Order: sequence, then structure tokens, then C-alpha cells
Amino acid sequence: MKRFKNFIVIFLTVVLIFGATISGLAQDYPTKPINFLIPFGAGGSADIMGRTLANATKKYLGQPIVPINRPGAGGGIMYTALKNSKPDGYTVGWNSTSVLTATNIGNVPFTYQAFEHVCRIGYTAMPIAVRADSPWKSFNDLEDYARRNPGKIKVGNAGTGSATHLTAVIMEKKAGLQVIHVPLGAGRRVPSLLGGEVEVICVPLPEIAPQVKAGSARILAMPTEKRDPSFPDVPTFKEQGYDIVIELFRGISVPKGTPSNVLRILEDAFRKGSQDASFRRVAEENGFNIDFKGRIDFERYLAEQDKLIADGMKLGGLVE
Amino acid sequence: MGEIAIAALMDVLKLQNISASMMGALFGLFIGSTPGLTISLGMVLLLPLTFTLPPVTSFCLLLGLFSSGMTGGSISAILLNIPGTPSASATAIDGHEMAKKGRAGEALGTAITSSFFGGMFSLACLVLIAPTIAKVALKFGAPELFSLVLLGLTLICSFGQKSIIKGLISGVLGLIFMTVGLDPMVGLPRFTFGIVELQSGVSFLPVMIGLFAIPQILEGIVMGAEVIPEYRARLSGVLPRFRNILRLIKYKILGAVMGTAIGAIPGAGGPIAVFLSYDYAKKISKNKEEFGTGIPAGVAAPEAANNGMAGGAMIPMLTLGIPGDPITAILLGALMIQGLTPGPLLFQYNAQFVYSVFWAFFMANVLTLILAFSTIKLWVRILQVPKRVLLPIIGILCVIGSYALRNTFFDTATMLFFGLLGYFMKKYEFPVVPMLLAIVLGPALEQNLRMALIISQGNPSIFVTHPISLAFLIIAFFSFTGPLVKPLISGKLKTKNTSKS
Repeated sequence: MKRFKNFIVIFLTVVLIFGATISGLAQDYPTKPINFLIPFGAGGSADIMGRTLANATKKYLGQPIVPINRPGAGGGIMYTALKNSKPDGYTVGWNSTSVLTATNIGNVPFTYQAFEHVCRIGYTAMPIAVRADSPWKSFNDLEDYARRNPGKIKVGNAGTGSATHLTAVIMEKKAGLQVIHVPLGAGRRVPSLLGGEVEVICVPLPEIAPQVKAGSARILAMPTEKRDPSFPDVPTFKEQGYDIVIELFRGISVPKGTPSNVLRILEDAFRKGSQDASFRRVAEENGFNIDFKGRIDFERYLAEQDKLIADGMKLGGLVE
Repeated sequence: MGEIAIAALMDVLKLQNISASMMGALFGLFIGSTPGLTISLGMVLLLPLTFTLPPVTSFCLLLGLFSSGMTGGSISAILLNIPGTPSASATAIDGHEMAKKGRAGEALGTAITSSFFGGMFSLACLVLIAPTIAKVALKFGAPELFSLVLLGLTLICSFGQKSIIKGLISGVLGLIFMTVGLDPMVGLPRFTFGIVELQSGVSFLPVMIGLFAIPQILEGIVMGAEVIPEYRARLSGVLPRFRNILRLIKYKILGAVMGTAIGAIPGAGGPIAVFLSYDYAKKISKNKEEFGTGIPAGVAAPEAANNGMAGGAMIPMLTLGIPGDPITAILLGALMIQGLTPGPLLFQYNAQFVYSVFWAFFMANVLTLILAFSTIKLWVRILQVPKRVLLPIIGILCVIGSYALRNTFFDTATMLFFGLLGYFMKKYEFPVVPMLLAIVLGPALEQNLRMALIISQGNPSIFVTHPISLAFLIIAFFSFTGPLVKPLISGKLKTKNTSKS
């Protein structure tokens, strides 16, 4: 009797294992829930946008997408985990400009090319802002003052090596100025500007937009390709004569070696997800401009942005 | 203004809003009392629900969670010596000692009423003087924060009172651990030995769970669980007597004021408020020696502080549109998803909504009080579980809790490392609280010190020319020298007195 029971147990186990393998081989991707790695902590902009996108995309993939926060090391923790995961399409990463900053500053032993990049979903502008009572009405005013007073103006950012820091460094060098960069951290940027500790900050648009609308801050320039839809009156750097385009982009990456049919399915699903009404509404409220780029365009875009970031790091003396 | 307030109240009292608040509060008690599940995570999980709810209903839900999560953190701190949230870590010191003595019900009762008081006090500040507080909070730049954190660090001395030297060793060890990770100013790795996980440094929650909870499990293993004295859980004496409420009122006020004030400063952080209020409760108490042995005052002050922080952190969020902490950052996101722009204009254009938020916070506090109180007897039953069953369960909770925080077993390993360290520290009578303080405050200390020096271009006088910073430095000086000098002075006074008589 006992032997029979054992036999049944073993038999069922074997059936289960084989059954699972066969169904995995025979059926198309995806057949099980997909892990969706977020490089920052719960509650931030990356997290809110990522969770909303995952939620909007699951119906196009036909499987649940499970958001998992892997914060730390400026995104380095998540990218390392993503790189080391199986290239089977069941682990996808919610990337951002951090995939370029974390790799370029050299804290992880690989470059952004360690991944297959599926698509870009969109971007957020990172404008240069001052207090409303500041004497500088345009970037040229700021530039004039900075030129006459080198090493006087303090520019706050989210941390050394972050996208906001590099934007400020590139602005400084391209305009030939000399400013003090203050790595305030993400939480203290806006309070420090309003409290008068720094005169200028480089900050993702959604954080400063409420202050601008309330009349306590002013945006001088947008380092984007074109003017931001929510602030059509604010000129870009390009319009003011400086070729500075750095965007806080977000998109999807998977480990290198993921089969190309899986890449296609993911690209298609996330494109549909990015156009979903639920995602569009949250994007608009968070100052996130949906601007989808497919695999080929995104690779080209990444190469350009990577060069910019690498140059910025050299200019800022962060890397040799 | 009165009419708007009443209209807002009527709105909040709709059945759907009351039930949303109730659901939030229930969920919050669960999240708060489970180590590793943070209030921020709970909010993020609820956030998608609010997309389809009206603004007031979503705020009832989220504030219910916020308020009861803060209270819930004390439940596991008191019963199991595992703080459910970082802000409950000071509560564990006296709360768990009370539970060991069979006064778990009383400790929980004190924690819940103090939380309620702290929450209500901070709400009053939010309604009455929010713009003033917000203006002062904005004055806190890098030098001010540095001096405030330094003041927090001087508590190492008073938490190591049995042996100041052992307290200092524990604290300095903590500061050494805290140097691991990315350099906060230049972003380069320090002491990470090529391990990417170490770049985010030693994170506070696993350390806290390890230092507090693991030593008791190891003791159980070493002694043999049968020999460990069981908890004596008494189910009576849960409701604090009126007399006791009055006796603890000064500790509650102290905690509530500190919690609200520090909560309103963006970037100051929660644990500093609870430890400062614990320490000042000790300073104003007549029975200083009894702190740490399990007395209600040691629970009342930090618990009033952590719920005070809830209202405090909402001050800059509602008036300036700046979140005071990660939790209010999520609330801010919720506001924006609803199409409301936080900041000064919110009061102008959506005054009724602002009043609804006030009432929703009021209701959240009341419901938390009712829910938590009516379940005390259930919670206390946990202690009736025999230790040989309870300890393994605590062990599992520690593993899950440390893993769940960032979904990595690296944090579980960190938790176990500090658990082992905590066991030996306990065995050789090194206090663990100074180490915890150093690890939680160290990063802020370093970052603000170096940031202030960048701003002043290397001139250290920035710390004394800023008046708020100078004031904190002076208090810190006395706070540091007090425990060292006091025995000498009181010794001298005694000899004087004896010589007089």
C-alpha cells in the first residue's frame, strides 16, 4: 500500500514536471506572469508610472505583470538583477536615463549595451528653474550674471552623477560658465530653492510645475527637443542658442539574448499599453510625455543620449 | 469659511467615505504591524484603486491607512520586540519590557491613546497654524539639518547610560557601518568590495529587525525554549485609567509637539523625532532610572510623536506642495492624479477639498482609535502562544519582513548579520540603540555636513552664523555633556548639602 502511494506521488511529480516543460515549449510566449523590475522605490515617479504601465499593458499580453521594486545604487541594483536574469521574456526592466548614468559612472561592471532595449515609452523634461522673486527672467539673464560672477551661483540637483546633475554640468560647460553644483538629493531640491539655499535647480518638471502655477517659481529653459506641451511659453535651450537636449526617458529593457519573437511581442504589447487611456491619464498628471520609440529608434536614441551623458561625466570630472 | 467646513464635513460623512476610511484603517493596522511591510508600500498598493474614486473618498482611504499604519507599528514593537515601522523603534524599548512583565495590554492601550493624541494635536496644528510652520520649516537648510541630526546623535550618550563607553563603542561601530555604500556627495562606492548590493549601504529596516528580534530567538535556542520564561499576558487593565491618562499627558504633549515640528521639516526623517521625544521624556521625568525597564511614559512620548509626524508631514505638503516624507510624497501623487494641484492655490481654488482632507484625517484618527482598541485583546493573545511556537514564527517574520522590503535576500543576510551581532552585544551588555541611532542618523549627518560646506564653499562658520543651527548646536552640547557632568555636579551638591547640615 505504502509502495503504491509512493509510486503515485512520484508518477504525479514526473507528470507535472514534464507537463510544465511541454506546455512551456509548445505554447507561445507568454504563458506565465511577467516580473516587472522598477529601479527606484515605492511612491516615486518611476514607481507610479511603471505600475500604471504594467497595469495597462497586462491585457495586451494576456498575463499579469508583477511590479517589483529593486531600488538602490542609482538604479544599479535593478540593472544588475535584470542582467543576471534569464533571457526568456519573463523578467523585464522599467529603465530610465539611470541605465546610462549608473553604467557610465562605472559603479556597475557593464554598459547599457548589456541589454536588449525593447522600446521607449516617453520622457519627462528636466528644466532649469529659479524662484519667482529672482532677478533672472530668462536663461540669458542668468548667463550674464554667472559670467560676471564666476563660482557664485549655486545650482541644486538630485545627486552627483544623476541626470539632473549632468544636465546642469552640460549647461555650465556649453555656456562657458562656472557654478557650484549642490547634490541636494531628490527630496530637498524644491524646499532648498524656495528656502533660498540655492538660487537655481535642475529638476524633473512635475516637481516644480505646481510651484510655477502657484507663482513661487519660474522655469528658464527646457533641455528638450521641443517645447513642453504643459508649458508652451517656456523656450527650449536650443531656441536660446545652446544645443542641450537631455531628457529623463523611460522605457523597457530585457536581458541580452532574449529571443526576437519575444522582443516583438513585448514591443507590441507595451506600445498598446502606452496608448491605453488609463496610462495616458496618469502620464498627463505626472508631466510625463508619451512619445513611443520602437526597438530600432530607441537603440539609436540611446546611443546619442549615452554619448551626451558620457561627455557630461567627463566635463564634470566624474570619470577620467 | 464655517459653511465650507460644514459642507466638507457632510461630504466626508457619506457612507462611502466612512467605509473607505474604515478599510484604509484596517489595512493600515495589518501593514503597520507586519515588519517589512511599510506604509509607503501599502499606499502604493492602494493608489491604483483611487484612480476611479472621487478625491475625497480616495483621501479617506489613504489617510485611514496612514494614521492606523503609524499606530499599528507599535503593536509588533510591543508584543514581539520587532518594530513594525521604523518610527516604532523607540516604542519597543519600554513597550516590550512592559509586555514581558505581563502589562502588554496596558502598553498597547497607552500606545493607542498616545497615537490618537499625537494625531489630533498635529491635525490641530495643520488646521490652525500650517502656513506659519511651513515658513519656518523652509528655513531648514543643510546647516540646520546637520545640527538637528547632531543633536539626535548626542542621544547615544543617554542611551548608553549603564556604561557610556560601551554606548559610544556601539554608536561608533554604527557610524563605521554607515560609511559603506555610495558616497553621498561624489557618488562613488566606498567599502563595497565590488558587491553591487552594498552600494545602497546598510539599510535601516533589516538592521532594526535584526538587532531587536534575532537576539531573543538566539537566546531561546541557546537556553532551550522550555526554560525561557513565558510571557504573562494579562487581558485586564487594557483601558488606561483616567488618572493615568492625566499623568502621562505631559509626555504625550512633548511627543506630539516634537513629532509635528520635525515631521514638517522636509528631509529630517521619522526616527529622529521618536528618539528625541523618548529622550526628552526621560529628561523631564522624575523617575529617569525607570526608563528602559518598561514604563508607560516611555511608550507614550514616542507614540504621540510618530502619529504627530503624520499631521506634521502634511503641513508642507498641503501648504507648499512639498512632501515632508516619502509617505506624503505618495499622497501628493494621489492629489495630482485627481487633477488637484497642491500648494498655496489649493486653499484658494479647492478650499472645500482642503477642509475635507482635515475631516478625513480626523475621522482616520478616530477610526484607528476604535479599531485598535477593540482588537487589543486579540493582539495580546499572541503572547499566550508558547515560546517554542512563537519564536520560530518570529524568525519567519524576520526573514519575510527583511526580504519583502526590497525583494532581495541580501537584506535578509544583513538582518541575520546584525541579529548575530545584536546577540553578542546583548550578551556582553553593549546597548544596541546607539548603533541603531548611528545607522539611521549617520547618512543624514554626513550628507548635510558636506552639503553645508559646499554651499559655504568650505567655510565652517556656516554652522554658527545660522541662528537655528547655532541653537541646536548649543542644545546638543549640553545634551552631550549633561550625562557626563551631571554625576559630578550632583555629587558636589550632595557634599555641599551634607557639609551644611
